[in-house]
Amino acid sequence: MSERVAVRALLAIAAREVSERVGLLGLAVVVAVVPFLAPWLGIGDRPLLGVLLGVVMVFSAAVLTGSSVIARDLAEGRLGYLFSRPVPWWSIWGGKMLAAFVLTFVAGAIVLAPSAAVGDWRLPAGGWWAQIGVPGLIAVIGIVNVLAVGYRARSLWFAADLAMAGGLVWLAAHTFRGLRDLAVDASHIDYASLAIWTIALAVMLAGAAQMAQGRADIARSHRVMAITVWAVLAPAVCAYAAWGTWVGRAAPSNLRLALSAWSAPKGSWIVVTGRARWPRPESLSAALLVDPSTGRFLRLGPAFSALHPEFTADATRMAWVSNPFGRTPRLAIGDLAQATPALHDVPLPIPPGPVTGFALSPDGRYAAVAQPALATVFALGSAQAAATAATGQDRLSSIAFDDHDRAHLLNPRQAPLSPGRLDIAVIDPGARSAATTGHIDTRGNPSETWAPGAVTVAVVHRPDLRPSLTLHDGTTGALLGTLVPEGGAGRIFATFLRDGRLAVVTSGRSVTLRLFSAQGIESWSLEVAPMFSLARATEAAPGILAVELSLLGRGSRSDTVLVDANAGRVIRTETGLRPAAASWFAWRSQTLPDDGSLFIDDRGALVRLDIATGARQVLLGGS
Amino acid sequence: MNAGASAVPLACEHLSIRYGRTRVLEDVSFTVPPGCVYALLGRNGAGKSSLVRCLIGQQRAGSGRAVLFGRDAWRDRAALMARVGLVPEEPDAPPELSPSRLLALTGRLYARWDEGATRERLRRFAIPMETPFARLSKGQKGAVQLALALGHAPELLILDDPTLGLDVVARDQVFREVIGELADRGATVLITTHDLAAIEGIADRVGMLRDGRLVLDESLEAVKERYALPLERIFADVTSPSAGGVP
Repeated sequence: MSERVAVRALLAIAAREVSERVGLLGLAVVVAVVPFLAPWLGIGDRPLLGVLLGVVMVFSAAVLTGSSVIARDLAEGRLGYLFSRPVPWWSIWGGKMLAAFVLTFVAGAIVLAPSAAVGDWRLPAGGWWAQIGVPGLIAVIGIVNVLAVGYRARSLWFAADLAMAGGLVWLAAHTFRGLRDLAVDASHIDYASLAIWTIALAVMLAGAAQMAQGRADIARSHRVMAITVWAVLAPAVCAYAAWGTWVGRAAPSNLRLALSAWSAPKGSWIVVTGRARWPRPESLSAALLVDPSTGRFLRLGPAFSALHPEFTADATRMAWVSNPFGRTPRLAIGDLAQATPALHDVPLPIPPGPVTGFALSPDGRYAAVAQPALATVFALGSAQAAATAATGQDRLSSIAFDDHDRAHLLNPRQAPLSPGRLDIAVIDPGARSAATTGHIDTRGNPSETWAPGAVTVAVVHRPDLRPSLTLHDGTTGALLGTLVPEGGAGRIFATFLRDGRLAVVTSGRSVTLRLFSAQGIESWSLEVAPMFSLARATEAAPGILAVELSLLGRGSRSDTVLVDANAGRVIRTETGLRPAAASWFAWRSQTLPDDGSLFIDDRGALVRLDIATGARQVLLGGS
Repeated sequence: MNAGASAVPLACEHLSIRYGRTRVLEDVSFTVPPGCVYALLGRNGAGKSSLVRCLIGQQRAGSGRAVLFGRDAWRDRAALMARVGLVPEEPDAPPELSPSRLLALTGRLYARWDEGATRERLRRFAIPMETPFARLSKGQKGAVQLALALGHAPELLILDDPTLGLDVVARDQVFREVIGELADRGATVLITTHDLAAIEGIADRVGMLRDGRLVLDESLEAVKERYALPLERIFADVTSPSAGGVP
């Protein structure tokens, strides 16, 4: 049989299918008029109705045609009429599929075109709709065809099909969630398009195989179709799951861009978060516990959170709250004393709901957790709360333990931006009690930083508008000093040194670093940059402050000015370097003993800086 | 002339079909020589329709094969159907199409199609040309299917119980048309039927299926001579479940 006759047969079959369903196009004409009658009928907004009806029409046409062009003829024994003619299988399949596509697209166009012509809507820019819409419609038609044949075959194998489909959907969804938790842009248009094209390919191949091998026998058609669909989709989904697992098993060498890092107070363990390098997705956010000196590492998993990890003072344990903003946060513990550190969950005796603050006592005995309505202190490992305090506001809270293992936190009683009073709540797990020990007046929207041991607390008021900075006693709230009055700076960043002194960076027309004693007495003031910068500071080494100057007209690059805190003088400027722990992504970064020596350079590499010599040692990453 | 034109028009070679654990055909072998009218007889469920579906390449045999004009019926279905005409047991034409539109559609599926002769046949059958196929009587549907099966002048005509449910007039029309086709072109015919009286006048050879096995395959004359009984008695004896085999 010549190709010409086969193509002629294909077109004849398509024309016959279209003519049989020409009523669908008539229905589309009627539906197309509805949006224009909407104002008179009082049934909604014309542009919205036009698009809505168009989408419904396209989907309905795809379902109606997909379910009938082949499956109905097969079930009613009429496909034999075509198979007893000198027509190749692909002419029959192609003719029927062509008819389904033509009917679907034309029906949609009939409904959508008038609305588009009067400017009610236009195709979105970027072509994403074609990336999704075209394979989506092919997939819908093919899926409905597969389902219709399976259903009409009245075979028990249809139940097996559904079970298989359920299993694969679960596996794909599980993988998708895992990737999403790793910040992989799993719903990116390219991935979505690839997934839909894969499904479309599977169901179209199944339809073709059904015609080629099943022919007019519905039982055989169903069998062939099922084998083909699962032969394509099962390996594809398994490959996707395997890829997802592989993506999640990123090692330190796979990191391209370090985002933030914290080092343990002792030893060489570093917690680092970062983005992966190709061939892993660049959006992958990996969190690793790394020992650069030995190469040992531990994956902290997708649930590692923006609540940065807390170490005990002796660095034998670390803890963090995973999934903090979900309904069921968990508390993870890393035991660093062992040769091979192990991660495990311990009880988190708090009510279900998000966590807005977390701290670990220096000796590791107690943990404190803040939630929108409650602060809880408990012994680490215990399933019972030792003491709780009611809190009044849903805000990110900073918690600090004092030397007696009592947790201190600020508890605003007014609306976030309103002036008012902050209660100082002190929760004592030893006495199993909580008390409000003092108050701090605020201009609103306070942002607090606790001194080591919760001796004092620095509060930036209204950081969003004419900020000011005050220093208070960490228990009574007594005002020790107004360090920066309202209007004194455009932006304020405060950080405590480990000896209790307070470094304050103010940004306005210039960047100024000021150092205060623990009692709020100013020791010195130093201009570190003659222009505005989003500046922050951290203690890079005992008595050495690192001031990050970012956005100095060089995109996202940063420079760091090293300052001798005791002498009040600039040591030198490190170009293309920013303190790792002072990352914008770190939440309420506290000063940790060795954090300051970790920097991230402009290539994204995590660098340990020798403060004395300026030597940089790349630990990992760097594109 | 097509390749394989000199080959045997129809042959079954050790054909077996199973549906799950149910055996439908078991090791069936026979040939139909050119110009022969072969009547395949069997009780309901004997496997006749399954055998026909294998012959026209719509069903794959479990083992063995169906061969038309020397070519495998499953593998070369599309090419072979240009030389084969089929009248199925159940009318399978699109129900919404009128005979006139069916004629147009079917003609476009063939490289060679005699529309005039087909229209003439339909006229002889007194078929209303603009009535949807679904609304035709059973006899008219059979007649339309026969006309469409003959429109490309097939070398092999397969009739799967074409007179099932037809009245006497319609049945005579079908067989007259077949006989006319035979007289005109000497086509080869395979017919499965229960209508033993009708085939007595046209069949050259007869095969009988019992429980999926071909228990008789001889010329009609030889069968009648050997048994010295009416064909209906022979059929009843040979295909009876209690029959042990060919006497």
